[in-house]
Amino acid sequence: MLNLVRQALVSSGLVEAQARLVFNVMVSRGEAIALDVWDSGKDAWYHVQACFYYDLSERFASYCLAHDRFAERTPKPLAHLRLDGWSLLIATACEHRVLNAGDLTAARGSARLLAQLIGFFAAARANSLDAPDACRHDRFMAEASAFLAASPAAGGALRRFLEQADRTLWSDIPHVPQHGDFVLNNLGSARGDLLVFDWEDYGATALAGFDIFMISLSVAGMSATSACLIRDTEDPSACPWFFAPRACAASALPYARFRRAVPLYLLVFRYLKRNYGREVGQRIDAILEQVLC
Amino acid sequence: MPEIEPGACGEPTGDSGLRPYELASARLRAIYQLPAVLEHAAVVEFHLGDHGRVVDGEWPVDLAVSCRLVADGCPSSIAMPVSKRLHSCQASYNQPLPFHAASFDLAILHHTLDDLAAAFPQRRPREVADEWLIRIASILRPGGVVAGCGLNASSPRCWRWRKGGATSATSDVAALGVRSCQGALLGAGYRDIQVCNLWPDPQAPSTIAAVEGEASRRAFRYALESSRASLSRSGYLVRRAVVELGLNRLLERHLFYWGRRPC
Repeated sequence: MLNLVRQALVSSGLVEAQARLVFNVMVSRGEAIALDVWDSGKDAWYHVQACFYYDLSERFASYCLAHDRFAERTPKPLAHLRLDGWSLLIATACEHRVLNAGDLTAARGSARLLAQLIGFFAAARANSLDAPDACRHDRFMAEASAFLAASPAAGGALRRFLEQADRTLWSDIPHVPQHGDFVLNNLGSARGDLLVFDWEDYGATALAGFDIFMISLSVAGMSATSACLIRDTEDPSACPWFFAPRACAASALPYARFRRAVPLYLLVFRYLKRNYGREVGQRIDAILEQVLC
Repeated sequence: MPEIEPGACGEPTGDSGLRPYELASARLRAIYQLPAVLEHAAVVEFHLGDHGRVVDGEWPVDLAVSCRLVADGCPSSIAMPVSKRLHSCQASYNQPLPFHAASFDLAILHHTLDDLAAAFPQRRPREVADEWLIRIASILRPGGVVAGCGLNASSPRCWRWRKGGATSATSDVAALGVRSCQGALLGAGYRDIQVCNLWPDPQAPSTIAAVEGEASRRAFRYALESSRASLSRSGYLVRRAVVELGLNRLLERHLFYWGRRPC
């Protein structure tokens, strides 16, 4: 497979055929193998995702769209190729570190990271104003509800919620394409600047506030207790998600409306994670049941 | 990358709802498939235990052979089919390997050199590794790959094991370190060599990082920064210094390596 990666980099014109390449490889539980490739002659780094099971062309398109809209916050996608049954996505590799909850808390003092986080939500809203690809809330929620209602794992509380759900639950939520997996693991810091990774779900939902909810849940801890606290806490200034009201303001979403939408966001979370394996699904189902009860 | 991950301990049960690399065995298979071309390939795994730890009937190859290495006095046997794609056999240490020359495209040594070194406590581990890498080169086709994993003899954690367990006939002997691994592969005639650190666990790998200076530093820097929140300031600074000095590659407990038989 490394021969294919070399072939992809050479045929994309990024490295010379005889270049000495060094590979750092990460095999996570997902569907793609991630490689950081070092062209030692040019001292250039590339990030490659290689997948035998799915075509990464849609992911590449999402990355390109994201880079068009958030150029300073995303690695630059360079090429997508199919070789010998493998789908290969090539992007620039940005050396970074994964954010942790403390980084955002510390941002209260340094302000830079926090300003960039809030700026990200403001840019997302600005990009949405004339976004031709924005999906409709109604269509998305119909798809999500149908999937979850048909899921054998759906609990009683979720079924009751879905039976009673109508468009009044989401119709007044602003239309802003969301990253879709805006958790700490997908955020990085490179020399103090915010980077956002893993854009494959970008625009899958445009329910403003979903990304704010996900990063809030991520810093608070992925649990039903955290979700309930986010929903029930009127003034979170002393909470790990203290930034949420400012982020909501940048998204033109009243904070009280954001809090009311927490069950809806969880439902969206469950739907977007529908292909992440049974155990992940079960954990989100458990959170959903407790929050909806 | 999802933030909710399945529990690290134990394999999920059942075969539905699993992502391609969710099982540790799938990730193990994936890293051994990195350096080789598997289409119409023949693969052999050498092991000293009852069963191989990498090769099974799931490999997308024409032929997979699980070859158990046994002590002198036990007879060698030719490969017999276990399933459609998987064959098994056994080979005595000091007998010729029961394969024709240039039979395989990939030979897997998952802790095999360590186990062999432990089985010959009277010999230097490096000598044992040198000898077996040469023997294995002879059964590889031109362009074929040897790939393996082992304890890192450079690591102080392995020094401790060597003192306590050199004669225990377990895999606590580290046959090769970072530099001796490169030297042994070169000495046996392999080319396109890459030696890596592997973590967190050879049976459930997630990362292999090349030992070359900047590549190694970058991988360890990322790993360190990802765990920074759990470290004291002094603990972080010490580890950061170790990373920037390029020492982690010598300290990490496991190596993963491969080399190609020249065409």
